[in-house]
Amino acid sequence: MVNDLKSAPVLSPSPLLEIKNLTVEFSTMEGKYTAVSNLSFRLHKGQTMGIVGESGSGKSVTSLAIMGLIPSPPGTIKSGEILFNGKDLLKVSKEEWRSYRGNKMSMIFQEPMTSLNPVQCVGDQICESLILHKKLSKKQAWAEAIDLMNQVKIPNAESKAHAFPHELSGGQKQRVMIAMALACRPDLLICDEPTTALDVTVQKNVLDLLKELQEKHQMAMIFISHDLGVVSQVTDNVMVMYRSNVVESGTTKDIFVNAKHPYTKGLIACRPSLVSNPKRLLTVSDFMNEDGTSKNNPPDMSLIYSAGETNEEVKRKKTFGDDLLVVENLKTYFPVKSGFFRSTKNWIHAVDDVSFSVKRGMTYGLVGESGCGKTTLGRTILKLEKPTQGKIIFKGQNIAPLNSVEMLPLRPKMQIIFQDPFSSLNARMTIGDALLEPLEINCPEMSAKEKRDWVTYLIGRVGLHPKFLNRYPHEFSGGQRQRIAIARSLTLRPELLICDECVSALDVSIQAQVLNLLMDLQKELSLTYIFISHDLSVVKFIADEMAVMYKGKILERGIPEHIYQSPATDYTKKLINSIL
Amino acid sequence: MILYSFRRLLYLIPLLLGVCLFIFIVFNVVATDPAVIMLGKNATAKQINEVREQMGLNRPWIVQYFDVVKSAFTMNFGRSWYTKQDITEMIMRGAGPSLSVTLPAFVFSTIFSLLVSLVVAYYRGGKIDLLVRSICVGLVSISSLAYILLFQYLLAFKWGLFEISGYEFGFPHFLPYIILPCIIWIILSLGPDIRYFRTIVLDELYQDYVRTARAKGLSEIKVMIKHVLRNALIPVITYVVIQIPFLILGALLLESFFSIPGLGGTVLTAVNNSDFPVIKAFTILSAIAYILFNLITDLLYAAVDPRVKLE
Amino acid sequence: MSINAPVNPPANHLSNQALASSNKDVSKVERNHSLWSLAFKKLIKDKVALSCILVIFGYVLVAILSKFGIIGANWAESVAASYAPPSGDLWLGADIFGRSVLVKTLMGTRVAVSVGLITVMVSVPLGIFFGAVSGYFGGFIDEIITWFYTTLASIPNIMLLISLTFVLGKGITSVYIALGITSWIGLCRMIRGEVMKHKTREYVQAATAIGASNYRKLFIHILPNVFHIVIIESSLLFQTAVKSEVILSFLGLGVQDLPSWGKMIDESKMELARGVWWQLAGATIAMFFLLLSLNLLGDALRDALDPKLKGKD
Repeated sequence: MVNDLKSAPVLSPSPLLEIKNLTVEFSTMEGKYTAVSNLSFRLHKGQTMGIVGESGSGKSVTSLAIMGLIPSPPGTIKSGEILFNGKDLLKVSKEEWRSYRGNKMSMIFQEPMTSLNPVQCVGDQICESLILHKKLSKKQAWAEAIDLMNQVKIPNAESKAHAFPHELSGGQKQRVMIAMALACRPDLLICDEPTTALDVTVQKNVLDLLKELQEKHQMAMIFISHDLGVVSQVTDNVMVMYRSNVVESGTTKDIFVNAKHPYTKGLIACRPSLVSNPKRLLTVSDFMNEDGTSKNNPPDMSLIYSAGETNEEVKRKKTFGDDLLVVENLKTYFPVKSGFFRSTKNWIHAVDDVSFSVKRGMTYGLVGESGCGKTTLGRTILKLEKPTQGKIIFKGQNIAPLNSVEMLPLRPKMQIIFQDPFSSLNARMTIGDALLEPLEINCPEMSAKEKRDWVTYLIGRVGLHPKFLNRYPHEFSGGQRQRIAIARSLTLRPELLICDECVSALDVSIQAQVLNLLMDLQKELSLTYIFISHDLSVVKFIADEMAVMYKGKILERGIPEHIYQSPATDYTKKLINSIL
Repeated sequence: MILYSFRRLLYLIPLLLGVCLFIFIVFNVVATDPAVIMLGKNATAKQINEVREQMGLNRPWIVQYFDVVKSAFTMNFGRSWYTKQDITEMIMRGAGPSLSVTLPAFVFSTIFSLLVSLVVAYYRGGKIDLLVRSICVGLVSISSLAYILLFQYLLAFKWGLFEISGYEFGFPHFLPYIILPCIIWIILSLGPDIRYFRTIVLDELYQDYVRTARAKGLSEIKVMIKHVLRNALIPVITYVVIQIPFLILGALLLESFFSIPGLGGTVLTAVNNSDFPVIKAFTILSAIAYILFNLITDLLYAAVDPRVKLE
Repeated sequence: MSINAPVNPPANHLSNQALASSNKDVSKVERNHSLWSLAFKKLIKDKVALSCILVIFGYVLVAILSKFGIIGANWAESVAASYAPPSGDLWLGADIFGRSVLVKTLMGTRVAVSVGLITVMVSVPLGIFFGAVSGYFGGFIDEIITWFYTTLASIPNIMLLISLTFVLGKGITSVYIALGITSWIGLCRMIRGEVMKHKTREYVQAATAIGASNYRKLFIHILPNVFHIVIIESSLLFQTAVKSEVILSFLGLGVQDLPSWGKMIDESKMELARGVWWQLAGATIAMFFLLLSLNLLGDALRDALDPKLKGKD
């Protein structure tokens, strides 16, 4: 199938890039699998196209194939054509393809932290392709590099050019990557999840910059993301990939309004947004069967939206109990040792004079960007970090001064779910053992059968089959692991559950499932949540009350809807404006 | 950085005290009575006691330990029991011949191994890789003694290509004597060096910045030299610099086989003759050298890796 | 405390369905796909690794048989003329006393294998214990242990071995002790580093949150996750021990009353000039295959067990 994207601003007679029937295979220990299957599309000069799909859908492999960067072995391009300006790149010599890379076509990668050479100053890294392709002298290239850094809006470009990557912030690193990619004025720019690793406010700025530069230089651009919202900001056309295949393509507006494929429908519906007020989130599985076919019945909308009431009104009707947790003037400082005697001269104020209270049955949202102290706050409440000052009153008892032994009887009542589903489970323990462990430690009087029954119930409750109990974590996907982590945190019937960025590492469609699960569990087990996230839309969806954190302090607190309608601080305004 | 170096030098004190404690325990507590060693088994108790008194072995242990510590900090190790020479002088004299063998061999094998490992890592999984890896595994599986004996026998004794043994002081004169020991040293180092460097280079090859460099259109050679090698040098430097103190000590076995009057040979002679002061001096000196070169490694580390700040 | 499961499981078809089929599913062990068993499967698929294991077992078998006098009990008997060259009857010829070099080589296996095994058995527990304790608890304990092993590490290994065997008196026991004292340092350092890394991982924090004790966190959670290092390192320790024993025996500091490869090489030093090469050949070849197998097995173990190398090569 050839997806000719029609709404290109300037239609030149022949496309800049045309992919015909591209198939890429990877060989692994378990055998071969097809990463991209029979993919075709055209891209004209000045056109922008988004490729959307979940991790492993083949979107990154497609872009690496165009650049000629597929790691081989294990990857091989089985068949197809990659026509760039009418020339099949799969037929030209390696040298010729190389002369296009960084010159006529360039790429920006997901991880700005690791994608820059750590021991070379960023100015030199930008110069490299200028010297190589444009044959500039070192001096000319350096001047050009400074100019590029100004274009991507890095402040003090002259001095920053001498900086090493670790001396720049994440956003600045990604700007350097963009400057590097644009150095030779490429005709085609490929952006592979360029903002996924960045904070929301930074993401917005980087996207605006990309869009601006694309329009200025009239480049063709391929923008890859798992997030339709991000893609819709910068592209005219979208291609949706699912399990190595393109399932749908068209103009971005069109796809949003009348998506045809069930997967696309699910993908659009599962994002919590600031505008709509669903009771629970739709997921891809509401639209699509396991085998990729469309469900016969449309999802029951009455489950999603309450008739005649806004979500805000529904939330307002919830009643909460007494104060389960009160945090008063909490401070967590980390010492910075320096000088000859390794004495503590400075403190990092990770959590700085924070106060809030959480009522029984409530979901309390904590929002902030990376490094704002929200994770440290969560861990301090659980006494995984030592508080420096202040009170943590849990069920009427101040637990801040308790030592680790005195904490033991309280541990079962408060649990935590971590961000990274890959490091939060012990790789050498079966799921069953991991779930039984809390019971072995805390409930000696339960019989083996009682324990097993309870664990079996829980694993079923989080949506996994009990036969999985004998398996090991590496056999599960990220979403499944996060469900297991939830089940483990529930084994002791805690009253307070801290969810520390627990959906951030997941694909949007999986994120919706986990959020729904958390909401159901809250009702059934009368749980109280502290929901920590960098994502405002998620917090607005799930939280009854919330606080915005910035540099260790709470800037404002209140009902999410109120904060969104009338943010009190500039920072909160900025946060809200950067939601896509 | 000066502050850091100074702090690190201070750490030398507890380490040196530890090394002295070890030496004291081994040679003054566990070992056979030196007086018996010196006088032989037939000595009378009176004779032994006299010698013990003379050597200060009848004093309390804490005083004896302090002697060891004093010698470590003043670098005054006294005289050898066997040759009666001043130990510091013996060491000065032996360092030259030792280095003349080990230094050229070390420099050559390090550079050569690094280059080979770059090539091999680039062609990972290919035929060259397999071949070099097999050769390296073979090389490290043969006893160092076998190399020395075989090469000395075949190349020097049977075919007369090199001097069998001996040494002459002065620059051009020692050259004929060091060639064969150098070759053997290189062959002994190639296996472990290439294997280690290969894993380091492979680690770097899989980093994201290498992909970025390729995306710029750099040729594979430039990617390997400018990006991969530059980053791989950081762990390589640690591995290499920390070996230098052991170079000064020389190759114990090589020196004794080839009768090179270096430090390694001196140690072996001392061991064979129960020459405690010499063994003690060598142990202390090599420990000091090890600690100093550890510090140098850290300083170099900070010089080549902008991410490292010495604090 | 006790856990009260909700009396009426909520109406959720998935969990009900799951519950219905649960009891029989959980009771029978479905299959074992732990990282260990995956690594083991990978290892036995690897023909090179498999043959290495067989060769090493062969050496161990020879060592055991000679220990119980089934092989080489009569190694000291003269069976041929002095320096009889290799022949059909006497594959590796005879030494100066007319003793069979082949039998001596086989007997040398006993010393080599016992030194290798004992070194591993002594240094592995020491390395794990000190490394784990110092990495996990940190603080003062860590400083003491770090000081202790840095002190030992700052003395060149060969000096350490020579002085220890020298003062302890010549003989195999001294070799065991000297190698035991020196070999655990590298392992300890690695375990310490890994434990420190794993200590801050989220699965260990999760264990803290469920009230796990230090003992449980260290031994049930962290150590199984760093144990692959011990296995990889053991093959390295084994071969370093074998090599060291050969050098110490060569210097006359090692085993006295039994044949050993090091002593055979020492004897051949004088013999080579007369063209008698078979003692050197016997010892070198015997050593070569043992070390080669250990090396290749070590590499295969690293490939199979080290999670960092997944997907490489």
